[in-house]
Amino acid sequence: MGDNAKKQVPLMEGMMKLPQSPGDKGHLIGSKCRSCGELFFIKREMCENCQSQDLEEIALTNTGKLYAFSVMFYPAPPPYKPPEPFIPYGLGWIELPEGLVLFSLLSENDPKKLKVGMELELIFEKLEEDKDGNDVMVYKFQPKKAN
Amino acid sequence: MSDVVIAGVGMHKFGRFPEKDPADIAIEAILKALKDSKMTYQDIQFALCGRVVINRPGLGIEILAKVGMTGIPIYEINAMCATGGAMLKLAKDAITSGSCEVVLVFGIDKHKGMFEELGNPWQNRLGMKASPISFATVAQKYMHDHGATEEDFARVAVKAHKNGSKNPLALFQNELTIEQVLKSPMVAYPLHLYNFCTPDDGAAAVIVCSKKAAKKFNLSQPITIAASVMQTAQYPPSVIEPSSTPSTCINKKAYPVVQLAAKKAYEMAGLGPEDVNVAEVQDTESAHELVHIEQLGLCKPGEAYKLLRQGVFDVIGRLPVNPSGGIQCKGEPPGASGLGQVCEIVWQMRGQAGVRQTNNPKVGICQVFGWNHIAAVSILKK
Repeated sequence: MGDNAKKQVPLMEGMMKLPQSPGDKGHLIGSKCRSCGELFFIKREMCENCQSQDLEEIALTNTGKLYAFSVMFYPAPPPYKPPEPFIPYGLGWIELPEGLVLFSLLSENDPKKLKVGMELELIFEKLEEDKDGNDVMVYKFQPKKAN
Repeated sequence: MSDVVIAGVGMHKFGRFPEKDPADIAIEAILKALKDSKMTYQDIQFALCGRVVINRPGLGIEILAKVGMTGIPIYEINAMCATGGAMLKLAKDAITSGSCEVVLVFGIDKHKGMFEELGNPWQNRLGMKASPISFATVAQKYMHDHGATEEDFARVAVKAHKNGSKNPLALFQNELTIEQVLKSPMVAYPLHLYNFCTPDDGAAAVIVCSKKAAKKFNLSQPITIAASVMQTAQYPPSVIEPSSTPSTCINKKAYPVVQLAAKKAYEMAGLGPEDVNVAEVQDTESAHELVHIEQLGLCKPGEAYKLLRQGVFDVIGRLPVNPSGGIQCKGEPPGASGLGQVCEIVWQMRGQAGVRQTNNPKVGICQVFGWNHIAAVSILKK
């Protein structure tokens, strides 16, 4: 890959590790407090529970269960940039096996197709191009496809 | 600790007043509260001004200067949609501490649309934390856990408009049917447009004083602030409570901030939920009226929508909730809405609520909830 090749970059540092090679699925980044053991999604400098600054970076599980959801039928206010025409988008809280619940965009936007408890898996999608022409990537969860 | 009372209340109608200077809107509420209290402005020793959305720094000071320059201290408070309740707690504490005897608390706002940039910058870029979504996920979970339906949420809006249509200070003066609510556009599943409160303009003012001052001014119907509590999240935060929290742990028992605040308030007042005769609760949308009724302990979890069906929360029911019409019908100027609740409960307790009058309530509760795990609960007693 040359210097001019288009790269994929995460929306934010400390949020996700994008796939680096074929077969690598990438993962969301979490923090585990070495003092009290609490887990957080997105790398943290300080534990919200015990204020320890001794946290280790961890890879979060790529699959989870839908805990609660909504579908937004109107565009959020700026800086959200709605597509033209606007497409309703799903959001939900995802329960990971490690006991963490995190908030995520969902690939599915039909409330009838979303069920609490359904199995979901992590995907990465292009949000936009940055000023250097790189693809800015975001995380989403989609209904898990049967193996 | 029953040494702080409400001496007077006043409200400027909640609605849309694009031509009106917000200072004048606030002054109308302040003058009404003063008249109601039979005190003069010279008797006020300390003031608090709530404003959340309106972008006019120093507005509270400007308003005081217009009413009269008596040199008293004033602080501007922003505790999001919990601002009114948060200020009532501060006023009570100021009097209890002995630093003053008479406090003017007022809230003013002009709120045009959805809050912008409620979440973290990256969440806002993705449209993840627009307020309807956060509230709607809670509504969806409530339906899933307890078997409530969109029709139950519609029933809450119908009750709000039935009550609010009898409140001349409310934005909306019309009644609604369940069908109208369900046919209004879906905003954030499972909530329709008519399930939501409407951002609008308005002001409310409350004069709070010591019992000693109440005697001195010979107040005929002082209402005691038996408790007033403000609460933020206590780790672990309650899952899915509207906030910018990107994740939370689910293996430990978490308590919603309203439940935490209510527990402290009941203890402080020496009362329990069974003593409450009337309630004004934060109804950002229909589902949260039910959720908050349950978090206040006024019924068991998952029971509120069933009691609503039975008419328990009607004006003539066993436990009237939001007889004012709530912010679903009054609209929500966030700096003023919490004090609007206090005005209603005071009128209800004094028997001044006219056609909305509930059955001689002795104990009332006011509850506000705002973005990012913040709540205030106040218990008022005759």
